[in-house]
Amino acid sequence: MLNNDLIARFEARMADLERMNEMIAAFGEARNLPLKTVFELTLVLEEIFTNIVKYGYPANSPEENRWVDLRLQATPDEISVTVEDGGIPFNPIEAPKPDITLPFEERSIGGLGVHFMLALMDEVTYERVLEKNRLTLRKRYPDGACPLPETLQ
Amino acid sequence: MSIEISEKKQDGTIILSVKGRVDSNTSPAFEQKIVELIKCGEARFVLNFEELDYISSAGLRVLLKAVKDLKKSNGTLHLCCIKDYIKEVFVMSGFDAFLPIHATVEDSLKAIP
Repeated sequence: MLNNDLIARFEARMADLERMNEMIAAFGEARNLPLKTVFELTLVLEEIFTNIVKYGYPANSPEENRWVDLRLQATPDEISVTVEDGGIPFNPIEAPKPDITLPFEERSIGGLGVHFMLALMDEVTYERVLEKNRLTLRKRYPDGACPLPETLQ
Repeated sequence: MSIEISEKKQDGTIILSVKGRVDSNTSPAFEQKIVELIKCGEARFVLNFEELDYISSAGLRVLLKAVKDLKKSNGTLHLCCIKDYIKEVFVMSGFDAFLPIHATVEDSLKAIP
């Protein structure tokens, strides 16, 4: 399976989001992954990426030092994802949760990205490793879907 | 990876058809369109999401702001024709509580007073 992983480094700035989206789409298409899974993965990774771009690095850190590493691995049962950045220590799992039952007058958009990640992924783990934030996500395919061509299984 | 917004007016209601993606990079164009219309005095909106393929919290932020702005003018904003997997984003965020979702444009127009 090793040769089938997607491993990529992105610049932590919004202009690189589209390149990440395109790579995720191509990854899903090449492996015939369920569209719903690819949508959910794209959504969760955009939210993580955007949070890193906006809040992940100190304001004075030089642009060339701002990066996001992504690794995607598809097995016949699930996708596993690793996202790393070299920014400020931040464990999103412990971030304040949005109250999604509030009336709209009192709603704000903060925290929704993390909420989506926790709601859509089957497993989310955070580690601080060698001055990096590492998020590991696992997402099982919908029941019955076994999308990989036989040669990859 | 882009967004296209087309606009028409029917019975005093603005119908915006949104095609493509509303993400962190395209949401400013989406926001600008809605803000301009509200500034021009428009208060009744239907967003036709039939050709919307993707929305993230960046898009939800625009909708939340629009709903808050419209409250000042007693306006209203309804959604229609949403793909199931996109509807899930509205349900998951609780936004379906204040953004009515209809099956068709006609149903939306009937629901707007």
